[in-house]
Amino acid sequence: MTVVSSAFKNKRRLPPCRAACPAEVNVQGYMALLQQGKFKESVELIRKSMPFPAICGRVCFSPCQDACSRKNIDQPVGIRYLKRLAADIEREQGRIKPDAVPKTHNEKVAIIGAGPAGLSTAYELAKLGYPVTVFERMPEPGGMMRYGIPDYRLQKYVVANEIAYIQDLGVEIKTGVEFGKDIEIDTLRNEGYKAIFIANGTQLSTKLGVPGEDLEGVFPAVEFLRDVSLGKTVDVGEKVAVIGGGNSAIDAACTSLRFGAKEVTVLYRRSRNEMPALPHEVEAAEKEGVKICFLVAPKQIIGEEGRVKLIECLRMKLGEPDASGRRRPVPIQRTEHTYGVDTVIPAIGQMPETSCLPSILLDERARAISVDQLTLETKIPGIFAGGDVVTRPASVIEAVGAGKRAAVSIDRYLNGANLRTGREEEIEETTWVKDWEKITRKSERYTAPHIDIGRQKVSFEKADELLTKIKAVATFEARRCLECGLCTECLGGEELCEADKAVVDETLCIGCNVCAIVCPFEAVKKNETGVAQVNEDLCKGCGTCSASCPERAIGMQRFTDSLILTNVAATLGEPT
Amino acid sequence: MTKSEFEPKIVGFLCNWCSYAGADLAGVSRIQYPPTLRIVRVMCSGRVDPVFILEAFRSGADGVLVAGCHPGDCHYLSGNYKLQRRVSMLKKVLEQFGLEPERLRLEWVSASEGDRFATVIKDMTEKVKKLGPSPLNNGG
Repeated sequence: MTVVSSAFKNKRRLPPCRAACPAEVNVQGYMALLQQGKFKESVELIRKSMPFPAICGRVCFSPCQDACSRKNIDQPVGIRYLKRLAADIEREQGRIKPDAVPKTHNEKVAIIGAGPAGLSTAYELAKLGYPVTVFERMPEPGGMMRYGIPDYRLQKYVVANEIAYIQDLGVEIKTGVEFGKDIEIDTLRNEGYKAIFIANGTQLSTKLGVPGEDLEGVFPAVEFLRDVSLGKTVDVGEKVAVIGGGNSAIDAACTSLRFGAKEVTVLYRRSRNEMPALPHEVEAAEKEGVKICFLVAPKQIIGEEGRVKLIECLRMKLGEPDASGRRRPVPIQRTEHTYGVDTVIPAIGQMPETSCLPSILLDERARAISVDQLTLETKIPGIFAGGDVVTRPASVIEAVGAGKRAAVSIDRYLNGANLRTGREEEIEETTWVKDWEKITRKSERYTAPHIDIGRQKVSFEKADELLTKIKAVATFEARRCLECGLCTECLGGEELCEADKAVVDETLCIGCNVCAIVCPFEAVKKNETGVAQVNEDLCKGCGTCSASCPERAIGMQRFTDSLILTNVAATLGEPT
Repeated sequence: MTKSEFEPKIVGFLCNWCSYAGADLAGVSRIQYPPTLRIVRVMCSGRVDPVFILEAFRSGADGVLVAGCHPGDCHYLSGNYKLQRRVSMLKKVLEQFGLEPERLRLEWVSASEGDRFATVIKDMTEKVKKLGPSPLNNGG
C-alpha cells in the first residue's frame, strides 16, 4: 500500500541530504532499506535516481554527508561508504541483468561523449523508451571516470559494470567515433537523430603560461592520467613536481608514486583551506608520502638539452577574496627559489575542446558551451549540452544531475511540450527535529579499522564471516539516520512503504489536546475550530495519538483498531 | 484440563522497528522458543491501546506481552515511554478484574536481541504456566 498522494509530490520538501544532491538521490530511502539489511533493494532505489551507485560510492564529494542533520549531534551518517558497500555487495553477488526497455518512441537521440553526463542522459532516456546512441572518441566508454580517475580510487571493472547496466537497458554505445571528424551535427541530423546532447567534457589541460612549458618531461595531468589509464608506461623519473591543488593534482601525485617516483611534491599557490581537492584524498596522499607545499607558484621551468631540470617558484601570500570567494594569491617579490625535478605535471584546470564545435554554440569567450541554465538547451533548438563542457570541470554527481535535467528537456522537446513549465520549483529542506538537545541516542560514526586486505589470504569461510559482520555494521550505521524527511521520503513512496497515517474523526473529537501533547513530531495540533488536525507532512504514523485519544476520535489509515483487534482474535482463535 | 498439559496462549504486540525485527532475528538464527506466542505487529509500542490488551484477554489470551524498543531508542522518540505508563496503569485495572498483573508483561527487545527475545518468551511461558489458564478463559 502506498500513502503517497499527488499533493505530497508537488510540495518538494526534501530532507537535507537529498536536497543537497545534484542528482537528488533518495538517501533517506536507501538508509531505510539498509536498516533492514536489504542491500540489493537499496541499490535498485539508488538506480532510480542515477546509474552509478558504485562509482559515486567511491569518488563522490558527498554533499549529502555535509548536509546530514546528524552533524548537529555527532558526525554525519557515512552515506558514501554505505552506498559503496551496497553497490559492491550487489555486484559481487551477481548483478541481475535488467531487461531492455521496449522502444516506445521512434525519435532517435544522439549523445556525444560517454562520460557521466552523457551516460546518465542516455540512461534516463532509455528508461523512457527512446532509442539512444552514445558516441565516444576513446576506445572505452566512461569519460573521466574511465580515463581521468586513477585505478586505485576507481577500479576499471566497477566503471565497466555500471556502464554494462546502462547498455543492458538498450543504450547503444559506439566507441572510437570522434565528434567533429567522423560525425558532425549535420550528418547526425541527416541520419535521423531528432535531438543531440553534447557532453564531450573538458579534455584539454589549462596551460601554466610560464616559460619552459613545452620542454620534454612536462606532462599535463589530464594527458598523464589518460596515458596511465590507457596502459601506456610513463617514465616520471625520481623527482616529480605537481602543480595545482585539485583532485587531478592529488591523483597525478599518487599515480606518480605508483610509477616509481621517489619524491613527489605538490605545489599549490593557496593554503590548505582553499584546496579544492577532497580533504580525505589529500590526507591519504600525505600518508603515502606526497609532500604538499602551500603558497608556492611556478615562475618558469628550466630545462637542459630540451629536458626539464629545474622549476623556479615564487612564494605567495593571500590577498583579498576573488570571484570564487577564495583568497587571491599574491606573489611576494624576490622570493625566487628552485627545485630540481625530472617531471613537472601541471594540474591547474581543464578546458573543453571547442575546435570541434560550431561557434554559435559557444559563449562569448569561446571557452564553454552556453546553455539555458534551466533547460540546458543551446542556441540551436534540439541541441542540448551539459556536464563539464558547460560548467567547466566539476564532479561526477553534478554531471549526472545535468544529464537528468537534459533528459527531461529532450523528452519534452521531442513531445513538443514546453521545456520550462513547472520546472522552476522551490525545494524546501525538512527535518522534524526541533531541538537537537532532545536527541539522546548518540552513537558515534563507525570508522573502519585500516586492514591491508590485499596481501592477506582469506578463506571463503572467513570472508563470509567478515561479510556478515560488515553487513551488521552497515545496518547499524544506517540506523544512525535521523529520517529527517517526510514519511513518504522513506522508501520513495513505493510498494515497500509500510508507513501509516493518523486520521481524525472530527465528530468525535472533543478538543482535549492529549494527542498534541503525546505526538513526538508535533504533527497533531488543534485547529481554529478546536478539533485535532493532523499535519500529514510531519506525521510518521506511530499511532501514539490514536492509542492515547480518550474519545477514540483518532484512527490510523493502515493499522486500524479493527485490523489489530481482528489480528488478536485471529491469533487466538475462537474463545473456548 | 490439567495444569501439566496446559499450553498457554500469549499474545505479543511487537513494535515494527525493534521487537518484531528481534523476533525475526530469533527465527532466522533458529533459536528455539516455545510456540506459545501469537504475534500482532504494530508500528510502535505507543500504538498499543489499553483496549487492545483488554480485548486480547477477553478473547482468551492467558498472557499478553508488549515489546518495544529500548528507552531512548524508539523509532518515534517516545512511544515506548507512553506505553510504559499505560502498562503500569493497566496492571492495576487487571487486578481489579481478578487477573494476575503478571499476565501482562512489558519488555524492551531491540532488533539485534534475537536470543533475548527467545529468553523472554521462555520465561514468560513458564510463569504463565504456573499461573494456569486465564480465569476469563474457562468461562470465568
